[in-house]
Amino acid sequence: MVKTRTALFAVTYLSAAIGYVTVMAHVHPAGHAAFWALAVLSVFRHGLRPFQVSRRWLNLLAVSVMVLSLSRLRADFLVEPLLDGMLILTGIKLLEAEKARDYMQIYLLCLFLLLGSGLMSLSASFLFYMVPLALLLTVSLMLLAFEDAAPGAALPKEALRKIAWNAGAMCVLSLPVAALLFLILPRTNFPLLNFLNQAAFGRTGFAESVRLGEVASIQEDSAVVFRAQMAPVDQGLLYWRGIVLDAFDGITWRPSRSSRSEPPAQAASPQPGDLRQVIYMEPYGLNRLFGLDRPVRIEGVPAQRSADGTFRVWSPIFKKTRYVVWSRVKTPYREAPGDLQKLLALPGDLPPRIRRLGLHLTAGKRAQDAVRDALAFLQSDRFRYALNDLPRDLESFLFDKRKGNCEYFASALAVLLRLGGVPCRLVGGYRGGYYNETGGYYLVLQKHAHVWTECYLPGKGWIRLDPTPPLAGTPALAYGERLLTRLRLLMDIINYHWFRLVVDYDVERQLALVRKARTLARNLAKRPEPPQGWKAAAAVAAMLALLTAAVGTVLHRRRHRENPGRKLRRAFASKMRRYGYELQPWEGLEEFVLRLEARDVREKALEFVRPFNEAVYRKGCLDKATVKHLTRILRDL
Amino acid sequence: MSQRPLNTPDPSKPFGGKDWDLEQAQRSIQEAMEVLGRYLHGKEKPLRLALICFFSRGHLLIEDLPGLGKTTLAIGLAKVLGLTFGRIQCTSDLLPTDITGLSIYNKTSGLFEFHPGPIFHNIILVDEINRATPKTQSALLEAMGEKQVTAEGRTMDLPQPFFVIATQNPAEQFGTFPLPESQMDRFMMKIRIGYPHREAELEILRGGSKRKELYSVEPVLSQEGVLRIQHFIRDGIIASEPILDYMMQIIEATRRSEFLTAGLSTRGALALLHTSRAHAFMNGRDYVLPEDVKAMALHAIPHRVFFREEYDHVDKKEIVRSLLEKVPVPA
Repeated sequence: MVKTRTALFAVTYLSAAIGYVTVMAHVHPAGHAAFWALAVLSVFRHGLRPFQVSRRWLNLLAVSVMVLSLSRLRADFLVEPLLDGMLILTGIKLLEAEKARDYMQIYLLCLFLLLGSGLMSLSASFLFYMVPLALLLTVSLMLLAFEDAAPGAALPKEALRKIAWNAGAMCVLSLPVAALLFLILPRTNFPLLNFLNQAAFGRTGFAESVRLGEVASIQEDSAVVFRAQMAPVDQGLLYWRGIVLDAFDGITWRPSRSSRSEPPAQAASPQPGDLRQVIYMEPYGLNRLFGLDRPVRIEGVPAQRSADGTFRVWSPIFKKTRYVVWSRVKTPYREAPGDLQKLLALPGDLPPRIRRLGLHLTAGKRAQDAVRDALAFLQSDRFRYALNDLPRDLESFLFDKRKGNCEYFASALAVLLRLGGVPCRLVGGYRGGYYNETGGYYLVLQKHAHVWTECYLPGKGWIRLDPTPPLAGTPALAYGERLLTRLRLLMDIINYHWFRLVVDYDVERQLALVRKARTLARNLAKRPEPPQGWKAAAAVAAMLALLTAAVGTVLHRRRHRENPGRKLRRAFASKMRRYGYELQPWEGLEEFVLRLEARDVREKALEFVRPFNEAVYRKGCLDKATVKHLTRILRDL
Repeated sequence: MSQRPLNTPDPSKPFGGKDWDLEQAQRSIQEAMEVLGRYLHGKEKPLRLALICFFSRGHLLIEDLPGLGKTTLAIGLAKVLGLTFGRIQCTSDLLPTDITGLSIYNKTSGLFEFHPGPIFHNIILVDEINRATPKTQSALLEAMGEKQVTAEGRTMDLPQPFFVIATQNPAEQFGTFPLPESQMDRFMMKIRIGYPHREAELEILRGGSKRKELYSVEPVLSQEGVLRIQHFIRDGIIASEPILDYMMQIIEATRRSEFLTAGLSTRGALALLHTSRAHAFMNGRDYVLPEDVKAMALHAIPHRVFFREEYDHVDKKEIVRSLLEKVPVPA
C-alpha cells in the first residue's frame, strides 16, 4: 500500500524536475539557486514537517519575484525573465503545496516552463519533455481525485499501476486527436512566435567583413548554420557562397561600397544541369543567403540578388527559414567582371616586401601562369594551416610565421594575383558539410566557415581558387564514427524533421495539404493509373505489410481468443454492475439472478441466463447463432 | 449364487419409453413433496435433500437430536414412493444377524429356512447407528456399499431401490461407537434436520402428530418409476465438460486446502457428481449447473474430508463454502 499523498508528492516533484530541466539552459544563475533552495526546503518541510509556512508571506514573495522578473523585460529579452520568474514561483509553490489548487498551480507552471523552453529552442527536444510531463500530469490529476475523495488514504500498488496504465492510455488516445488538430487548426502566415525568441539567437561565425588575425573561435564552433537538402555531390563542389569581399585596406576585406549600391541583378532562370538545394537556415543574425557556388536563383523567400552572385534578404535572419536555391556548379562561371579597377585595387601602404614577391611571382605573366605560380607558392610545404598563434598581418604570414587559416591564404592569393594584374576577389561562406545519409541533407556547421579566392580569367570567366591546404582527413567520414557524434547526428535528423514538419507548418503548407487531398480524392475517383517504378514497389511493400499485420492479428486473436461464454458472462456482469449488482467469479449466473431484489431486472436477467446456461452447460458449446441471440438479449437488458 | 428378491423389478430396462415421461416424473416428485409437506411441517429442505440422496442411489446420514422427525421422514418417504420400509433400532447388543436375517430350522420341511432381516426392505431407517458395535456397523455398511448380503455362505441381492437413512445422536457420546470418518464416506450425504420454524411447530402442536395417518398415505410413485428415475439421473442428466472441469477444480481445492489434512476421495467426487445430477433433476433440468454442484458440495463434502484439529470446531460447511468461493465457475 502506498499513501496517495506520497505518490502525489513523488509525481509533483518529478514534474517540477522536468520543468526545471527544460529551462535549465536559459535561466539566470540566481534563478537556479533560488529554485534549488526552495525545492530542498520544501522536501525538508514535507518530509519532516518541522515547521509551517505562512501562506501570506509566500504570496508576498511570489508577487515580488514576479514584479522583479517583469521589470527585467525588454523588447528583445522577453522570455528569459519570465522563465526565471516562473521557475522561482514553482519552487515557492512546492514549498506551499498543501491543497489541490497548489498542485494544480505547480502543474500549470511546469507546463509554462516547458512552453517557454520550446519558444527558446524551437527544437524537437520539446516533445521529449512534453510526453513524460503529460503522462505525469494525468497521473497526478487522478491521484488528486483520490486524495480529494479520501484524504490520507492509501492505495494498493496494483491500483497505482492501473492509474499509470490509464494515464498512458489517455495520452496515447489523445495523440491522434492532437495530430488532427495540429493539421487542421487555422494558421497564420505571420510567424507569431518569432519576435519572442529573437534574443536567443545571435550566433555569428560568419561576418560581413574579414579582418586578418581576428579569427574568433568560430572554427571550433559546431553550431548548425543550415541544412541543405540535396543529393550528395562531389566534396570538391561543396563551397557555399555567402558574400563577396572585393575591397582590401591592408588588414580587412569588405564588400566595396559601390557593389552594395548596385541595382539588384535579375534572377537567372535555372538551366539544365543546375543543382537544386532546399536550405533550412538556422537563425544567425545576418541577411545573407547561402547556396552552393554559384547560386543563380533563390525561391521561397523574397531575396535580392547582387551583381557579384550573392543573395540577401531585407532583414537579418532571426528565424528558421526555408528556401530553394538553384546553383550552377560548373566552373568557370561565365559572367562579366564588372568594374575591373575595383578588382585590381590594392592599398597604398602595401609592404614593399609583398610588392617584391608579387613582382617576382606574378607580374608580367599571362593570367593563367600567374594563377598557377601563385597557387603553387602558397600551397607549397612552406605554409601550414593553423588556428592559433596566428600572424599579425599579411606580411608576417608570408615571410615570418608562414602559418594561418583560410583568411590569410585567400587574401595572400588575392593580393599576389592583383599585383600580377589578375582581377580577383574574396568569397566568404562555408566549405564542406556532413552529409546525413538518413536525412538526405548536408549539415553545415559554423566551423565550416571559409574564405576562398575567385579570379577572373579573360575569355574564360570566374574561377574558384582555394589556396588553403585541405585539412587532414575528410571530415564527412570522420564525423559519423564516434557513438556520441552518431547520436548527435540522429538528434539532428530529428530536429531537422521537427522543424520541417512542425515548426515550419504554416498556412501555405496547410493549403497545400488541402490541395493535395483534393487532387488525391479526384484521382481516386478517376480510373486508377497503373503504378510505376518506386510507387509500385511501395504499393507492394505496403500490401505486404498490411497482410503481415492482418495475419499476425488473426493468429494473435486465435491464440488469445477468449471463450465466448466467458466473454458473454463478463458482458452480463458489467450490465448487472450498472444496476448495482456485483457478479462474483465463483457465483453461478442462476443463483446470482435469483438473489436480485428488483423483480423486473430479475425477470429480464433470467431471460438471458436460461438460454445461456442451457447453451454452455447442456450443449457444452456456444454456436454463433446462440451468441448472437444472447448478445441481443444482453443489449435489451 | 445370487438371487434377486422377488419384489424387485429389472432396473436395466431402457428408460424413456412411451410409458415413461420425464415431465410426469418430475410432476409426481413435486406431488410427493407436497404430500409429505403436509406431514412434515417445515422440513422441506431435509426432505428435498433426502430425495436427492435417494435418487442418486446413495445413503443418508442424519445427525441430529432425537425427536425432530427423522423417523417420520423415513416412513413418509417410503410410503409416498410406494416402497417397503424397515427399521433397525441400534443398541450395543445388536448382532449382524439381527440385521441381515438368519436361517432357522424348519421342523416340518427338515430344512434351514432363511428368514430375511429388516435390511431386506427398500427404505431402512437405522436409528442411532452409533450405538451399535463396530462389528454390526461394519455389516450394515457393507450391505449399504455392496447392496447385497452374505449370510451363511449365501450371497443375496438387496431389493432395489435400496436406501438407508441412518441417524446419529451428536449429543450423547457415552457408551456409543461413533462412526469413524472412513465409514462416513459410505454415506452420500450427511444432513441435519434442525428445529422446525415457529409456524410449522405451532401447526404441529395444534394438529398433533400425524404419524398414524402417514401410514395410510397413497403412494405417488411406483417402485418401477423410482428405479427409472434413478436410472435416468445416472445416464440422462448431462454433466458437460466444463462442469466436470469445475468439479475437478473443487476437488483439487479440497486436496490443497490449508484447512484440511485430506481432501475429497474419488468416491466422494463421484458422490458429488451423482448428487449434483439429482439436484439438477429435482430442479427440472436435464443438465448440471455450477449451482447444483455448489449446493451439493455443502452436503456431500464436509463429512468426507478431514479437517485440521484447529478447525474442528468451526462450522465445516462454512469452510467448504469458503473453498467454493475460491473456484471461479466455468463459462
